[in-house]
Amino acid sequence: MDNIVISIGRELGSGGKEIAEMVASRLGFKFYDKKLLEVAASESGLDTTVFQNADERETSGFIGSMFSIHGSFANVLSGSSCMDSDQLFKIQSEAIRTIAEKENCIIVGRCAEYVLRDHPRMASIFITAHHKERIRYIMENEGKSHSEAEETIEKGDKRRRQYHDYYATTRWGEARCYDLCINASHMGLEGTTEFICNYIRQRFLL
Amino acid sequence: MSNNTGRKVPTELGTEKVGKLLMQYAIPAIIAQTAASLYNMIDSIFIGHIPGVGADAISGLATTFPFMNLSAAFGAMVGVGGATQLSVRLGQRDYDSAKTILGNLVTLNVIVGVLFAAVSLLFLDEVLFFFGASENTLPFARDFMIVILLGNVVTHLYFGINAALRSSGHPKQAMQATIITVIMNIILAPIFIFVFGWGIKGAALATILAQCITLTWQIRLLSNPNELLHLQPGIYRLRKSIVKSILKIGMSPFFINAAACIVVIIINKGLRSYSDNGDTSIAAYGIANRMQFIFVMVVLGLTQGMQPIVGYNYGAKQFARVKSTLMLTIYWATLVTTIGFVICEFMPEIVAHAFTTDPKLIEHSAWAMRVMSIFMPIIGFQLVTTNFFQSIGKVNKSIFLSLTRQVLLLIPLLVILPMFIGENGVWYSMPISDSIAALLTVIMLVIQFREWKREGIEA
Repeated sequence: MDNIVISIGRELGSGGKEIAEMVASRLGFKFYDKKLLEVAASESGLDTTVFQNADERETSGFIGSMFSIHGSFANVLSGSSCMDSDQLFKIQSEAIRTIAEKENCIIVGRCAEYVLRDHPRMASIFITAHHKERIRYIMENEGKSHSEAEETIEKGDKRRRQYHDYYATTRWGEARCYDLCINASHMGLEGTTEFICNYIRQRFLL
Repeated sequence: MSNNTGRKVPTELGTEKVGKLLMQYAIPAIIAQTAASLYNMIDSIFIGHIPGVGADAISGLATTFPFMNLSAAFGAMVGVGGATQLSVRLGQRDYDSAKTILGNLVTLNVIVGVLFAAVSLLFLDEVLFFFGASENTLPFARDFMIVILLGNVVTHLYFGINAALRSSGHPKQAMQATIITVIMNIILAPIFIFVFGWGIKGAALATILAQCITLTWQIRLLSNPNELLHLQPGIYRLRKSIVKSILKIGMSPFFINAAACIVVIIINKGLRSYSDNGDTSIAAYGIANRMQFIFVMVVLGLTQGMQPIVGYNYGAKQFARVKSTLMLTIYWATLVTTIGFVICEFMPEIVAHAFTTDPKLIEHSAWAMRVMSIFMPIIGFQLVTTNFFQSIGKVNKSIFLSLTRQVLLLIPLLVILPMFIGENGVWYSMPISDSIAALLTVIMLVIQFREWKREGIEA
């Protein structure tokens, strides 16, 4: 495998996805976010909508976590392979690995840095931003009020952390789990994009 | 372990005949489900035929059910939590993490097993009284539980390692272990009870020894260094992050089992306070419940076989297959519970005879079986549909339905009804909550079908 894979984790409202897209177009890499991965994973025969619901299920509140069979209770007892979120994650991971084997690409989210931990040419990046900037970003892009944006961020962070830390053995957003962690507020989307491109060029001698 | 099982299985689920798939997935699940209740049944049948042992011993044994449920709750917490984590890591071919999880699973099982046994032994009499024992039945319950609790670590390790075997690519061996343990129990119990004359203690010892022998075999299997995942030094030290995630996942199976325990306690307590002869009533409930439970377990196994088929085809938008799988499972489940109904309604005396020789207890438990099983044919439908909602990702509806039958309806009924009609109130609560729950299930299924119709999904 000579191709390069960049996995990008990001906080909600950090502009991480836009930065990832810009890095992809500048370096000429293929870009995959959640939606495009769903398409790839649907090769398994499952409809893309199944994957959309999968990560919502991780957070069904206290009662939910008390009694939700986590899909896998039955799984464990019977040894059968339920179509639960664990199974879906496995299918999605296979899709990510297949993609990462054949082309230079950027994968956003989906614990890609864990799934591809054995890939010889993988760079893992985590993008954050100042809290204020994130709120402003959400307010502008989603037309939300200040308090709504704050809530969106809080819930979004929680959901991503839970999803990530359940499926990966690393901690979401913890510096030592990534090759590069960067706060996008200092250099802006443009500057951060250029910085990441330079890092990739220098590291892989492009 | 094949590298692409994640892809191979789904294709088959989407194309193979539904009936064949259901059989293939349901049979191992049914065996796994019924095994645990089979031990209990075997034990009580042998104990019921010890010369000189009467209703008191059987009643004492019945008060140990909630104890076994509680122990199983703690076992499931560690076992299911660990096995789930294990299968996620193996799915990612992350063998380093997987082996630490396996080691932590073993250590946690030992800790939880020892703690549970120690605390229980310390307060054994108090707990048994709380679970419904009386001065007359306590000695029998105590004899049985002391042996079971001394072997508690073995039991937890046996179930925990079996769950690990299943999720690490050895489902066949796990099933063999289950079957072997049941067979050994059947062989050992009569030898200990009748040949050596060890009585009720012998029954408990047979259970523990059978598990002990199987555990040795399981450990040998898992110690093979040629396996990618095997028991080895250095994996047993507890890691905070692993323990936390095991307990988090294990919480739901823990509460499900604990809820079952609480319901039995409430029933036993109700029978004790409202019946003229509490001991006989509790013994009768023990017998009737064991009988009904076997059929419920078979249905639960069936529904587990249904889950992956429905789950996959729902995901693949093959609604015709979803519907025909549901219908076929309901058909089989109803057949099973109807057989149970026929047995419990028309020949309960014969069943009761298997468990005891005491004529008064036979009469009482036959009556109990008749009352408890009035609505049994529809329980199959109720259980299947509850699981169906889970298979299609409507987890909250599934939780709601399973809670209504066993908790939300049953517990208030058990508390209120006896206030007005005495002991009968306890007995009638069970079929009443079954029937209301089934009605709610029908309503929710009809609503779901209408919703799909509106969305233009024609199954």
